[in-house]
Amino acid sequence: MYRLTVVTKRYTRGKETVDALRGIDLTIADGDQLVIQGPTGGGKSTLLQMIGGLDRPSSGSVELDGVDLATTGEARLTRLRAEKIGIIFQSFNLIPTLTAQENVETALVPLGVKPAERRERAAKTLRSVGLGERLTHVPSEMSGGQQLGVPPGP
Amino acid sequence: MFGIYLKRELSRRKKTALVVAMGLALGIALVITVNSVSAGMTQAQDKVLKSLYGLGTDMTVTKARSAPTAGSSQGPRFQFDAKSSSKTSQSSDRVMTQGGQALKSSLVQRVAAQQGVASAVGALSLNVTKVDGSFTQGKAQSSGSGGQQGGPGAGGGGQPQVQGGGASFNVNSYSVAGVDVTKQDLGPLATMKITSGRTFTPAQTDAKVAVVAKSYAKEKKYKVGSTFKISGTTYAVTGIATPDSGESTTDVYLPLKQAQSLGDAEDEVTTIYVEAADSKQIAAVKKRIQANVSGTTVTTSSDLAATVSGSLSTASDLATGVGTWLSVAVLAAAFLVAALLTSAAVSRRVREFGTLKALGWPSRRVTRQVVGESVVNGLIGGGLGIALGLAAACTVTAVSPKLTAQLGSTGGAMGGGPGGGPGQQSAKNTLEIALSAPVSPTTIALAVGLRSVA
Repeated sequence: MYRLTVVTKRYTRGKETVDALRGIDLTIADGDQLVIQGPTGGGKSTLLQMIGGLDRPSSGSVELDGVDLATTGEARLTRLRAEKIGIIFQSFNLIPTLTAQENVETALVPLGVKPAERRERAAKTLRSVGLGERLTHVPSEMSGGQQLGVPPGP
Repeated sequence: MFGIYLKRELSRRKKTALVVAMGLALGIALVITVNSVSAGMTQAQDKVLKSLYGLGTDMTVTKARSAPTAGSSQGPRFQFDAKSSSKTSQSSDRVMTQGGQALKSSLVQRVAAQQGVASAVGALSLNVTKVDGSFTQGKAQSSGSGGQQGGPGAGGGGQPQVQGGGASFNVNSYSVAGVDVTKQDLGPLATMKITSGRTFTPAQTDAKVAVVAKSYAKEKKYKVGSTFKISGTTYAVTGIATPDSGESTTDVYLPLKQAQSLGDAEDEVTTIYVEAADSKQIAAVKKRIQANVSGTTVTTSSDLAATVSGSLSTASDLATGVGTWLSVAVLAAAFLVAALLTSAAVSRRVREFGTLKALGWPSRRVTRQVVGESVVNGLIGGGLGIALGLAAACTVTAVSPKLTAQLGSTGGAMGGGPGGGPGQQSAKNTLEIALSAPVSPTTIALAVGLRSVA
């Protein structure tokens, strides 16, 4: 469960200061599906970065299952990202030199999953989304839609 | 995943990897080659110096150069009789001490007594000029007398004329070194290896025996047991000697007393060979000798090394100067290229690394991946560079280019051995020596280390 309390994110460029997020309070329970809508520059991506543990707020707290992502250490944050958070980027963001199967495997590497199991789980996941024939293809050998279909982890 | 990712990255960026590896290889190869050739130059210089100095000799003491006195610069004089026989062969040897100036033998003991001197031994260098040939008497003939011989009182009316006659002489010069037979491990014979017969025994202090340099023995067809004369004294060849390196600069070695008799230099030596007790104290010993034994010039091997000229010196200068800078420049360029390419590659992959971080890859794992790629690149380049460097060094050693070394005495400030001659000698000693390029593990470590630091 996520609990955001008075989350503020302030960007400073020279003498100019921009508040991308100002006093956000938000609770997302397990199993909830949330859609965030807003104008360009409204702070949607910034909010997702806070929730995804990719960035830290200037003030306030972002709790995930009781752990404050704003103050927890980098190692634990990395671990939380690997174990509890999945992110699908706007662009494909695949590793261009790795095959589709290996790209899926990368999400299992920080979890310490053994190579054989990684390969098996990655292949199974790709087959489940209809990319069973693209296991050994690198992103440049796949269409845009297929690339978008490669999940960030099994 | 580390290995797969690394392999894929390197194979994807083959050209970049190749440029970085080749730059690195070139730098390492150059450092190895330049260092090896420099080491070869140093070895060659050491050989040149040892061939003149002798193993164990740290410095030589010669008489300080003094201004020539009136009449002292006269050349050798030869006297022949105009004998009455029509064709008489005559021979004369002119024996002179090299440089014309010698030290008292007693100075050997004074030098040996100086603090820091382990051993000192005197030697006398001589130049022998042998002139032999014959005069042919002319015949007096009076013109218009039908070819009759006649004196002034003879009839016929024609003036008598001397016809025919002349002289034919061969001139042969060679060098002789008088050796202290009781201390042959220091001095002129120390660099020589007896390849036939035997060297002097300690008892042969005044024996009429000689050791002859192989090249001179070959020229004169001397063998062990052969005899030859110098100024009327007959010497028996007891041994043929070959220099450890280079060419011998002395033709004949005699016991010191014999050489002193020949050169009319009783109790005199031209060079004192000195071995220091501590090789690190050579400069101090030199100062001490110069201060305590007046009228002498002390020359250390480093002084002598400074006088080496010729292609060896030029090549050495090139190797240590241009070569070093060239290798440093190539290493710097290789570093810049590698740094720029690596930096560009990292910048290009920021999004990729961001994705990995978002997937939970710790920063150290991402860093390890990038460093791993650089290390593999470095290993490939390093291996290639070592192979190239070794190949270049082996080629130099295989080709063994000949270098000439001239040990100069232009300023007259150096000593030199019997072959080198004392400071007053104006001629230069030219030696030919083959260049090699020895590669030591230190050289390889240096090259790789320099590149790692870069």
